[in-house]
Amino acid sequence: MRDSRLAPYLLVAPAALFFAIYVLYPIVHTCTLSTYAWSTVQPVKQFVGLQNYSRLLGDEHFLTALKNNLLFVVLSIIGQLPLALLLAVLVGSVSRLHRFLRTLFFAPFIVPIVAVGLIWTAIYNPSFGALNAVLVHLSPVFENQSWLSDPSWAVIYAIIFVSCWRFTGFHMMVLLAGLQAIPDELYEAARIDGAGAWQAFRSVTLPLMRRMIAVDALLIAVGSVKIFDLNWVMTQGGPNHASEVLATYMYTCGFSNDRMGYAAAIATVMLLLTLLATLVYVRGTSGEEAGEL
Amino acid sequence: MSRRTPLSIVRDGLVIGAAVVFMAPVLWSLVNAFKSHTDIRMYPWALPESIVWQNFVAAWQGDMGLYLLNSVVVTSLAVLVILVLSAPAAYAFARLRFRGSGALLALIMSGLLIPVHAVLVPLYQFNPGSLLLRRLAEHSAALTWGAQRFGDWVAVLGPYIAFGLPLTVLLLRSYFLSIPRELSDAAVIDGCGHLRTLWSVFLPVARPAIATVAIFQAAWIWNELVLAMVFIDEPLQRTLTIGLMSFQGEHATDWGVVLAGVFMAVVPVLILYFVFQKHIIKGLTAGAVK
Repeated sequence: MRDSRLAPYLLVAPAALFFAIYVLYPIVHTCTLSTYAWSTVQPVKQFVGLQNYSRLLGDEHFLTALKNNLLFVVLSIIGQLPLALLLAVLVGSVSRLHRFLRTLFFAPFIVPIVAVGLIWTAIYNPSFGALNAVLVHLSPVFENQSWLSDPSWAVIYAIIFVSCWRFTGFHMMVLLAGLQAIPDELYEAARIDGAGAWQAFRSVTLPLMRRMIAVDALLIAVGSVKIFDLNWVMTQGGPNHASEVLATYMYTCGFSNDRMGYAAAIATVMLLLTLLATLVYVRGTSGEEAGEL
Repeated sequence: MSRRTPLSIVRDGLVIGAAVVFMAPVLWSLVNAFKSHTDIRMYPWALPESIVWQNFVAAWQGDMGLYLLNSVVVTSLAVLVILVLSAPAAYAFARLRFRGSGALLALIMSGLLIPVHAVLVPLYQFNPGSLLLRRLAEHSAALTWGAQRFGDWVAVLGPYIAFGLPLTVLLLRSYFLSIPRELSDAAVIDGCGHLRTLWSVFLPVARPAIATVAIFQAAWIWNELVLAMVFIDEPLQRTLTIGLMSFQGEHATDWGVVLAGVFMAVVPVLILYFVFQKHIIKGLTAGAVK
């Protein structure tokens, strides 16, 4: 190359600097800020060491949030992946009808998330919600429920259900990419061996999709640490913190209650959990690859 | 491929039923946007007896139109800057050998994992974009006006752009890697510099990848909630997400009006989706597949 050795650095610099200023530096800063007690009205920071963290361990709302994030991971995987795989198999062909159906199943993922939250808030509404109206028709003994407030332990399930509704079509598309990579000859061979649809699914589809499903499940786990939008729009973490997740609790502590150091500590926990989930992900996927070689 | 057997017809019938159930919540909300609050209350599943345009008038007066426009502007600006910053970096990572390139790339890729919540507190305390703007505005009346009118956007665009960089660099880089070397070598022999080569050889060839990644970034910025909540105070600057939330807060007792607002937020996106579905699906799943 005729150009100076500097050229590559000049090309990378704008992106790298921008990223460093807005992401890397603030992350380090979050970790240090989490060892102080401070707020915007009392900007003098008081060093408290790990006190914010030890307080977290005794904070029942934080523990509820942690539990809810975990519920999100487990129930999202159970609720979305089998259905997504089933749909991918059922509407995976190139026919017009199937393509149209896929478009419909993917559609909830297109609806803006705040709109999704409001739509389901309306559906769950105790006085006019569509859900109560349906259930009253189905069962004469059914009494109207207020799904997003009472009983409060059930609220998180109502939110997770909406999340499953929104993301199942997305995972159907992701898994479909894997399904289409399976050569037709394998199904041909299975048919010649006398296998029915179910047997072909069990002996061809499932084994070949195992890795893809595992990757997708881990992706859900990594993503579930950051869950915020639906919970915030539908309940803001309520009632009485019952549907809190880490991200909503972090926001409430920092920006509603002005406990910035404490919020920074929760953010640091989120960061560590994401890293942990990613490590599992990387080890899990690279291990699988090694096993296949 | 698809042979029509009785079994396949039954199967398709069941799936069509499932698709209808899947779409029902959206359809329900869109239909109820045309009903009065009492009608929604009395007959939640009925079609509107007479269409209540009043809901849409209220939604329009509640600035839903402005919020939509704001989101269009903020999203396009962010995507544009993301592409402008990412393309040269992706080019350098794909084509040039330089000391520390691996480490730099890994550093930027780390952004794929980081939750935005991890930067909220320090950026709230110290937002480089707004600080710079305020400093500049001290010297110019026009900038003072600009800072008042658009200052919150400057604050929120910083993290939008920064969090958009990692995946964009990653996807563009892998696409650039697939471009045959002869093509770019020819440009270099013609005396093109790096930027010129990038502009006239790489970017035209990489149009599909650019479209894919632009759709992905536009979708998350369009939907982004928490950064907008933290950085946008000024009602005139609200984007659609926080605009819709404040709109709901103001009309919480009249769900016909709220659902009209939802209608205005959902229908344009759904129309775009049904027109460009192939590209949009590809763009949105891009992050997961790679």
